[in-house]
Parts: sequence; C-alpha cells; structure tokens
Amino acid sequence: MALEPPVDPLDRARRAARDADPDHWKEISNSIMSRLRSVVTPSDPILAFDERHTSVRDAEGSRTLVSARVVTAVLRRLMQGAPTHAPAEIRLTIAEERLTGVGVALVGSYGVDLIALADDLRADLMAAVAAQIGRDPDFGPGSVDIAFVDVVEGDPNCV
Amino acid sequence: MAARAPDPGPGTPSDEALVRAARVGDDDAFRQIVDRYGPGMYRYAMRLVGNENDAGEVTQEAFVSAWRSLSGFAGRSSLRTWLFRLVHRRAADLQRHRRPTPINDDLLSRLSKPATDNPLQHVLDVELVAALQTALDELPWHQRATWLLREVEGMSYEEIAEAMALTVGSVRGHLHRGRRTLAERMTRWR
Repeated sequence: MALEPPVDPLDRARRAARDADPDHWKEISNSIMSRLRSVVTPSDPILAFDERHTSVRDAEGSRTLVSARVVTAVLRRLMQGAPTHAPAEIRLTIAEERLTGVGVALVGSYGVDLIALADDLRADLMAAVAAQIGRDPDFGPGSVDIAFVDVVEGDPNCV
Repeated sequence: MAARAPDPGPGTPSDEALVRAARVGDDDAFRQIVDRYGPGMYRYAMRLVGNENDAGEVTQEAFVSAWRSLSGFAGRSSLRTWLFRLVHRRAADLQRHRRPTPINDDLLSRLSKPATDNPLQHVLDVELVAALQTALDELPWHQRATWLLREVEGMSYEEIAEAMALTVGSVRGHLHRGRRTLAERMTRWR
C-alpha cells in the first residue's frame, strides 16, 4: 500500500489560514459604511432661485439654500448613467452663495464622439442644476466646463 | 505563489472604475471596495493584533482613512497594496499604544471556514491554526507581518515592501527568519 507523503504542519496551517474568512464580515462592513457616512466633508450652501429668477421667496425676504454636496451628488448620478463616459472629478464654483460654475472631468469610452457628447451633457447638467437650485439668470452654458481626461476601451463605469 | 487579489470578473467594475467613482463621492462604489478587500484586510489585522475588537477598529480606521485620502491615491501601487498599507499602519499604531492581550481561541475558530466534506480535518485545521496563531504571536512584529502578507495574503516581496514601507531586502530578511522560527515551532504537529 502506498503511503501518503507527510504534510508539513506549517504548510497545512498556512493553507487553512488562507481559506479562513470572517463569518461576520457583513456586520463589520455595515459598521464601516455607517462610520463613513458620519464623516461629513465641508460643503458650501448655494442660493436657490424661483421661476421668476429671484432668490427671495416671500415678502419677509426668506431664501432657500441647497448644499453643494446635494448638487454634486445629483450631477454625479447623472453622469454615471451611460456607458459612454464616467465622472472623474466634479467641481462647483460658488461665489457669495451663488453657483457660478460647474467643472467636470470625464473619462470617455473609446470611439465616442466626445464633442457631441459634451454638448449633450452640458445641456443635461444645466437642466439638473436648474432642477436643484432653480434658474440663476447668470448661470448659462458658459458656466459649465467639460474636460475629457482619459479614454478607455469599454464602459468607463466598469473599466 | 498566486496573489490573492480578487478577480472582479466580467461585468464587475474594475478597481480603477470603483476608485474613480468613489473619488466623486459614490459611497456605493466605495462599499464594493470595502467588500472586495475588507475581508482580507480584517483577516490580516486579526492575525496581526490577535484581537477581534482591535482588528475591527483597525480595519474601520483604515477604510475611513482611505475614503478621506482617495484623491491622494495616485495608483503607483495597486489599490489592494495601498489598502493593506493603511491597515498595517493602523495596526502598528495600535501595537505601539497597547499592552499585550491574550489570544482569543474562539475568535480564531470564527475565522476558520468549515471543511464541509471532512469534519475531522476541520477540527484538526482549527487546532493547527490556533497553534499557528500562538507561534505567530511570539514572532517579532515585522516577521509576523511579512509572513502573513506573503504566506496568507499571497503578496509579492515588492508589494509587501510597499505595504510595510520597508525595502525588499529587509522584507526577505524578516520573512526568512519568520519562516525558520515558525517551522521550528510547528514541528511538534508532525
């Protein structure tokens, strides 16, 4: 009868250790994510405008402000929705509580017409900004800068 | 030895895509990073510090630090190596500020995946891993860390050097001494 070669105990222990996974990882993962959500980054308020392009909402002069964090999140989701491009950076320029500029850096998909994509995206970004803070009369197409910083083969949201 | 970086697989976002999305505030993307690399980081922390609560804390702090400093991740090393560097640093900070704590055997068994087809082998493996942990705990810090990163996490010497902020030569030296000591300590299991 053939004898099995003796297994090195350190090698066996190493293999067992490599195969070990924490059985309560989900709890730890949830706790990490909940801690991350409590890490609040500074965010500027942005003045909202009504349909008359004024920021004053009533006779008392009350105003509505929207956090830049909210606007950034909306723009991010908008730009993550297509396989042609993905956002690499989103910058909001705010002066005296007014949004004066949006700058986005994008990674495009190879083969896409980047100029046409930028034109479409600029209109979408402006509409998304308007949906969040109304129409500031000074915020126009020239306030939105789009830069393609890279192109990749395939969907930049995955590659 | 094959590195143990998980293969994202077809249709799953690459590390680069997840980092890009997380940098613009996408916490769902960051969660995928956490679930892709967190179990390995936690396992490493657990074997390095030998305490479940400390390992959890160290892993959490590493990810909070990663979230805050993603814009500084230049991609010179892989995402995995960068994350292991963060968890190693947090574990080293903890080690400097605490007294030795006894190894918790229950915690070690919670790390072991049951061998579904061989219960006896599973029991033996649990005992063997517990013996390994005792031996590891007696190793000097750098020897323990290099051994874990190489033999359990499957990192290359260069990746270990990056994760531990050491030279490759120093990694080789620590690993050689760690292997020799562990082999001696585990001989009684032959």
